[in-house]
Parts: sequence; C-alpha cells; structure tokens
Amino acid sequence: MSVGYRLVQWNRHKRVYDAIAIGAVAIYVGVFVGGGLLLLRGDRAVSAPILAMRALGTCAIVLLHIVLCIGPLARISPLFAPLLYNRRHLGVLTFLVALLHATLAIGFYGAFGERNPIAAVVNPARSAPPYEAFGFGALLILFVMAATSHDFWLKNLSPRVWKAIHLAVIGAYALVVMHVAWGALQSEASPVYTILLLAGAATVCGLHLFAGWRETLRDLRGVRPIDGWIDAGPADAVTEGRAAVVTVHNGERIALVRHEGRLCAMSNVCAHQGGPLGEGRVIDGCLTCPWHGYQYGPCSGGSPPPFTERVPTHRVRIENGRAKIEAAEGGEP
Amino acid sequence: MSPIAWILWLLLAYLAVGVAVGIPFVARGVDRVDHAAHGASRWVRLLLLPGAAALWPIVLALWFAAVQRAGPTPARFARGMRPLRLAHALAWAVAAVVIAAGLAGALRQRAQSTAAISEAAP
Amino acid sequence: MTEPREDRLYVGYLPLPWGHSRFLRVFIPCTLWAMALLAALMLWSMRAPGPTLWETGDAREWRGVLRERPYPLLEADDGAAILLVELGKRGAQQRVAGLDGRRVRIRGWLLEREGRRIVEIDEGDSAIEVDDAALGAHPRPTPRSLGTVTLRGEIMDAKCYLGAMRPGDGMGHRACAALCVGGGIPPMLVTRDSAGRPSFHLVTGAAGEPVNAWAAAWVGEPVEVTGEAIDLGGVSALRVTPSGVRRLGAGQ
Repeated sequence: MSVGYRLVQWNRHKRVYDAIAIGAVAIYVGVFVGGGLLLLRGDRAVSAPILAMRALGTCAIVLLHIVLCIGPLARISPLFAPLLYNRRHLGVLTFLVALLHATLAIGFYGAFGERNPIAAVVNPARSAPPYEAFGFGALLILFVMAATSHDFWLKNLSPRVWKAIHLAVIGAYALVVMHVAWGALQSEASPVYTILLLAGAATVCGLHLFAGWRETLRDLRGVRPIDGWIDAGPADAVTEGRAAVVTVHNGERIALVRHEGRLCAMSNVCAHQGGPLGEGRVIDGCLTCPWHGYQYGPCSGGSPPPFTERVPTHRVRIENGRAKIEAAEGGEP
Repeated sequence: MSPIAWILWLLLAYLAVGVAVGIPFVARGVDRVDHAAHGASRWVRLLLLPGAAALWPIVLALWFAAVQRAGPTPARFARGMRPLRLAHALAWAVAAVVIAAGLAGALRQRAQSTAAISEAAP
Repeated sequence: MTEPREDRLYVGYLPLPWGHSRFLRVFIPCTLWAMALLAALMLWSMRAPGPTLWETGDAREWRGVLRERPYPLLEADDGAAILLVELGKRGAQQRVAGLDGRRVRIRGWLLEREGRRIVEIDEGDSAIEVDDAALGAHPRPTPRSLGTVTLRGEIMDAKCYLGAMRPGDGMGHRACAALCVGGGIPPMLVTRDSAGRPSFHLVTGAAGEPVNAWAAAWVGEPVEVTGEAIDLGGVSALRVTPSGVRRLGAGQ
C-alpha cells in the first residue's frame, strides 16, 4: 500500500517469485542454447546468435502465455492467487526477454549492411506480410506496459485508465501470434511448432473467453434496486469474517461483509488495481483484497493508518432476515 | 518512404519529445502530482522515466492539472469497472477471431506454397 | 462453518497458507520441468540448415579472370566459377570496377555449399592484384541461351545461404537477405529436385544486368520465376523481368 514510493515494495513472496521466474528463464534459455551448441552439429548446426535469438524469442512467447493465463486461472481458482500477486514482474521480465530477442535480430540480421539496422529488420524490402513489424509492434506495447507498471502510474493514471492501457496486451498477443505464424512458421516445417502455437492460442483465448463469459453473465444478472435499496439475499448467508459479492444491475459490484456480527457494505472494487474485495476475508479486523492484500475497515471503507486508500461505503439494513444495501454511496452504515 | 518507415520516424520523434518532457517531470513534476512521491529516491525517479516518456501527453496533462489546482491529483475511486470488464471480454473475442483468421491464413499459405514447390520438383 | 477460514486467503505479505503451499509445491516444479522440456522440444524440431562451409583463419588466394557482370565473379584457373563479395552485407561491384576480363589474384575467405562457391574478399588494396601481361586478353565467353524456363524455389542472398549464416534462408532470415541483396550480394534462385539436390541460378535482368534493387523484395519466401536460362560458363543465370516473379501460395 502506498505511503511513499520505493523501487519495488519487496517482501519475501516477491523475492521468491522473481527468483523462480528468472530461474525459469535461465533453465529455458540454458537448455535451448546449451543443448543447441552441444548437440546440433554438422548439417544441423545453427549459428550461435541465431540460436540465442530463437531461444529468447520462444522463451518470451512461453512467458507471455503464462502471464496471460494467470488472470483467468485466478478467476477460476484462488489457488492461482500467488501467481497473480507479482504478475507485473513476470510481465516486465517477458518484455526484457523479448527486447533481447529483438536486439539480437536487429544486431545480427540488420547490421553490417548499408541501411539503418532497425529499419532494415522492421521494414525490409518484401512482398509477403511484414511479420517483423508485427513483432516490433508487440514489443512496443510490452514496453509501454512494462514502463508504466510501477504503482505510481497505477495511482496517478487511475486504476481504470491504467487497466485500459494494459488491455493493449491483448493486441500484443495477437501480434505475437502473427509474428510467428507469418514468420518462423512459414519456413519451419516441423508440426511441433504448429501444434504448440495452435494449442497456446487456443488455451489463452479459450480461458479468457470462458472467464469473460462468466463475468458478463454475472453482470447481466445484476439486482435492480427497489426504492433505492438492493436485495442482497438472506442476511445469515454471509458468515463471520467473510464477504459476499452483490452485483447491481448497472454493473457495479458491492462487497457485503460481516465483521464482529455486524453487516457492512462497501464497493467491491479495490482502490489499488480494482481487485474483488468481496472475494477476500477479514484479517486483523480489515477486509483484505485477494489480489495484493490491500486492507479496508469493513464499515469505514478506509485503510488503516498510515495508509490513505478509501473505497465508497453503502448503508445496510436487515428486513425480514434479508440484507438490503442502499444503492447510493456514503452515509453511516 | 514507405508507411512503416514513416511510422518509425514518428515514433522516434514522439519518444524524443517524451524524454524531453520526462526528465523534468521525474525530477520535479512527480512531487507536484503526487505527495507520496516526496523524497522518492533517484532510482525510483529513473524507473518512472520510461513511463513518462511513453505517456508524455498524459503526463503533461497530469502535471498541468496539478499546477492549476496547486495540489496533487485527488484520489479517485476505482469504480465503474463494468465498461472495462466488457471491453476486456470484447477485446478477447475480437482477438480470438483475428488470431484464428491469421493463423488459418498463414497455415494455408504455407501448405499451398510447399505443395507448389514440391509439385515443380523434377 | 464455525471455524474461521482466513487461512485459505492468500495474502502476499503474510505466510503462505497450507493449501496454496501444497499446490505450489507441485505446480512450480512441473512448470519448470515443462519449460525445460519445451526448450528441448523446440530445439530438436528446428530444421537443419544443411551442409555449408565458411573458412576462417588466414585468408587464401585464388587466381583467375575477373568478370564484373552480372555479378562480380572469378573464373578460377581450375575451371571453377567463384562469386565475389565484400566483408559484411555488400557486393564487390565497386572493388572490381574496371577489372572485367583481367587476370587477377584475389585474397579472401571461401564459403561453399553443395558445389557452389563464393569468396569474401579481404580488406585493403592488396587483396585484389592484377597480374596479367596482356590487357583484355580474356574475352567474355558468349552467354549461351537455354530457352525460357519456369522454376520454383527461393531467391537467396548468395553469401548467407552459401555459409555466412546457418540457416541463411527462409522467412526468419528474410530481413537479412533483403539487406544483403539490396547491398549488392548476388540474388540466387535455389531450386531442389525431388531428391533434394539443388541447382543455383543467378537472377539477372532481361539484358543480363544486376537486379539487386527489385530482387531484394522477393527473398525469404517460395517464388516462381519465369525467364530465359543462360549458361555463363560454370554458372547458370536467369534473365527475368520483375513481372516474371510471383509469390507461391496466397490464393493461386
């Protein structure tokens, strides 16, 4: 939570997370380049820079698939929450690996000639589709996302604008698939690449379409308020220390939380990244976001000092055993 | 010049302006825009520079607004996530169609050209 | 539900709950193994770049008669026709200008693939030395037409394909090939018969002139080339107009 900015708000989980992520890249690139230099000999030998270029390019694609699957997987099972926690670092790592791939391609394919190396690679004389430009476009998107990944941007651009900017990763993914399909896949005849790319695209798109469908259905089934009050179901359905998510017909979501026997309601949208507060728990007397652990007083909507985050609260009343939430924000709960 | 060459030059010009705006922004502007940035280390400021260079029009707007208001950007509630959820779902639906079409086109191109080559082989 | 279930919520700055810990202990090693396996699988599925040679170390010397057009070439004394290029991605047109038909000694490094040779000329004026007594004593052999042919294959930049890069062909290498051909390296159509044996054809204009400028746009992908086949004495060439080249695939 934000009181003064640090380079990274380190904690043990982030360190372990980053160590595993960097280790995974090292294992992948190590097996690829090491194996290539040792095992590919004679007619099969591949120039070392091309070997490294391919290792880094495919590694970035594998990482991008993992990054993109974490979101919908965490919507499907809370067991994936630890992967979501530091996903931003994984995204930045993906960008760095892709940048190395592009640097090698530009430095090896684009250099030693009579043109600007970047222009020579991104925009070669050609008749077939510009797959190099697809890759470059994807890299630019990943750059903007990595460059704005710090919490300063999240807070000052507002989580909504920040999330909207970061939707561009979907475009980056589509560009990456085209980069491979119209590039490497055109000359690499092995069905392994075709199958892997098809399986990857189907998994990523399928998971997102499934999760998106579920969320859209929830939004469509939102409750319409009667006389300004929303029926949130039986009051005793929300047990102590836990919360329920109530979807309103206009798509707003409200977290109904029980703390020390009392029912309180606040916006379901965490002030940090818009995480679903109602899927969290009360820990140390605060409703805790399942994404990054931001905390709010269940009935005040304010983070414990020294933190300054707030989310809007709603009044709650109980009528014939059913919890009713006032649609308008504010007011004493 | 080809369209892609134009785009590359425009991009370079955009980033050059971005760095020119970004350096004073991370040095001084961040403190005006966000009180939490007071006392941020040089490394944090350096880390913010690529983002400032990439989003310099937005950065200028934030900075200008903070100067006008003579205070930091007020905290905004992150509500109204439904349009974003919808945009997210729609964007993936569009991407899935584009990806499927692009993949199908690329695989067809490969199959046809490979067949054409082998059929011509004496 | 009497017992508190806080322990099931993962919070980054608190100890890992038991359920998550148990899951991650399986999931993370599996992911790492999967990545290693993927790397090995992708590595093993790469196509073989083929048999090429690029001599390194001390430069060697070749003697023969120089030809400027269509692309710099040495008719070596042993009868072989050797293409000539500069270091980097540049053709040798400027270096050999005015030396057409002269006997020369050339110092450089050999690149070779399946019988086709190319020499990368060393830097410095001494790398090409004229050593003939009789100027212009070696007239160009008359190009012999073999009639119009239609061939399918890929236009390569001769230097990379013959050994400067492995692989030096295909879509992944396209930008490099376009840069090479655009920079003066001879464009060469490579076709293969059903047994995989190659034939190499220099691509020239209809009047036998170099066509680096437009040929650069056709590298890296399967093409069909229609033109007049020419025997230049040890080297085959195709005289082609830009409309004689078309992409293969794409809704033909």
